[in-house]
Amino acid sequence: MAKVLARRLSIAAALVLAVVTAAFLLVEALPGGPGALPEDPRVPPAQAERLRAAWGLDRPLGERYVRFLLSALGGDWGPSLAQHRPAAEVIAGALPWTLLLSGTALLIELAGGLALGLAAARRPGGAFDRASSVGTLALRAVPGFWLALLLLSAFALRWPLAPAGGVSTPGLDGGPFARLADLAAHLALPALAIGLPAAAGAARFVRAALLEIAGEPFLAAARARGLTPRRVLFGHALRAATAPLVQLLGFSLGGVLSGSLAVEVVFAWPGMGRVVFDALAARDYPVLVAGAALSAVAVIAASALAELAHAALDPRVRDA
Amino acid sequence: MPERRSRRDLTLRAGLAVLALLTLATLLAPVLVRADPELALDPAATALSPPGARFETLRLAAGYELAAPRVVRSGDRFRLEGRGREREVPASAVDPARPLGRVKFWLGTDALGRDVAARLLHGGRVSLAVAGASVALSLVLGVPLGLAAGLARRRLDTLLLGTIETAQAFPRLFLLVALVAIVPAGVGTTVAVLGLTGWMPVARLVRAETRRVRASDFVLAARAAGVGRTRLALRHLLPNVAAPVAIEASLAMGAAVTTEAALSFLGLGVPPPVPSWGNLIADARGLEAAWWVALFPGLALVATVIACGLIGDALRDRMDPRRGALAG
Repeated sequence: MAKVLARRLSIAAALVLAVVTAAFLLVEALPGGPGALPEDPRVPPAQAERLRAAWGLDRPLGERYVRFLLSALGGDWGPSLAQHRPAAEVIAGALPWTLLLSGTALLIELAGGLALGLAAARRPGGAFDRASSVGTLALRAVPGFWLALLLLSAFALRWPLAPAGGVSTPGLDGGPFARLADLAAHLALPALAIGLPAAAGAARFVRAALLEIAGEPFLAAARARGLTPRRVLFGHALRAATAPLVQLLGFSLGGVLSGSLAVEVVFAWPGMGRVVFDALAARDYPVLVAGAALSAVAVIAASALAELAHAALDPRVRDA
Repeated sequence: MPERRSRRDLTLRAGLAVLALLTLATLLAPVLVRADPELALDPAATALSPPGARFETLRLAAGYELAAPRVVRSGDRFRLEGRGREREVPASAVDPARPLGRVKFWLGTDALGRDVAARLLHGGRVSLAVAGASVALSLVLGVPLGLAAGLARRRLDTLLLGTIETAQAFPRLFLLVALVAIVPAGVGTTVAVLGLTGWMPVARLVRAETRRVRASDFVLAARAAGVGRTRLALRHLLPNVAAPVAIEASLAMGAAVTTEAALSFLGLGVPPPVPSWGNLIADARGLEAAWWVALFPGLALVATVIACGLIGDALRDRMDPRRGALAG
């Protein structure tokens, strides 16, 4: 197990390094990037020289790369070019909002997906299975940003049950409970827009994972021992299907930071997606690099975690 | 078993039929709807008309048309009636050849008075073409790399796999910024972004399949018969990985249509005024009361994704016969 852990962690670290390096080189090569400063004819040579020295751009590429890596390791990703504060601070301010939104969406996905998938797998081909098969097929295909627009026009404007965007009602007075309820109301529509299609996909995945092992002899044995269908399903089948379920969880976790971008934009949610979107428009490279690095870390860490969990749960993988 | 098989074929046929219908409708767009999707017919009168709205039109000698729910001729003047206001046009300003016409907006109009149905079909051409081209690009990149990694010795394989995993962890938007900074945003750039960020699953799949097939007896037999590496890859391995690649491609097509729409919706994909389903949905922002502007392009998008998913699932079922029942 320790060997698997060490191997997987070193792969993950190498991947993060590779992504950060690729981002650094890409910015370096871009027109208007750090390398382009002295090319502007309007800047007098002496001034350009001074700027280059001030920003450390007179140093060779290798040295700049090492400096960038070292300060990034220390949490310094450079100054945001659009907002006059450190890029790391910009990202750090947005991170909790995205985690809140994506975490809620993930709960909707897992709860909805498990419940529907289990219910459908109990009687494959039955009435419920067929209805849920059609429903999830359609819902899975729905893009989050489109669902966000539809939810917005239905439940924020036509039947105003929830606020249309943002995270809080301006000028709201009240105790912590009132503020919590206000936050929950703001959270509901964007979380549903992300969570519902994901739940439909998860339901199909859970159903398929359960049916995949339905023919296994140990389930026949469990039934032959006289266990109730409920116990066969929950005690045996679900447990044996843990591996694909963990895989599903890892996949969903990986998208936690980057999967909500368009929905955040629709609902003016002040998370990572919005920050990255604004940084794109402003060509704010330090914020972009920091955001890219962080979402890459999320993807890589989630897949490493999923693999480790799989190894911990499945002796065949662990001892290989 | 025959019952299952017929249902599976039904799924496949339904998926193919929907996709073919959508493609055909977009290809026939100039015949089915007006040829110019950007044409706004008298926006002051027709903007944000609901689906099914009918108008009578009056062609002016100056070349453009006016529209109103009713156009009546009285003496030497034409009167445009309805929608709360009346306008009058002297007959001398009217095109004498074919002054009156009718138009029906099946799916309504957008904020600029453009026909949603026309933009939907013309936009579908762009959306489907972008998705198809980007999937083709990811196959062109992914299949050879996957084959190479699957056949390579350990060290090269590790290197290629590392490249694949790095590319997979690299955020799509970042690559987009980089590409747009180098070449101007456009249909081609969108295809490049989707293709360059979409080939990794293909490469992984082809690599895994190649490694699986590589161990089988017929490959050993071919090797023993003195078949060279290139020939082995192209004639013996490639045909055997074709089926899973076809499944992946059909699912990737659905994903590409969605991603193109998301990028265009954010203003990072196909630049307006070129219509695409994402742009049409983006046009609906701020017009939440005019539900038809966002609804129909989204439905077309969802129908495409469902069709691609059905095709992929049916192909997968066809290749994987072991599926049982849980509560047997």
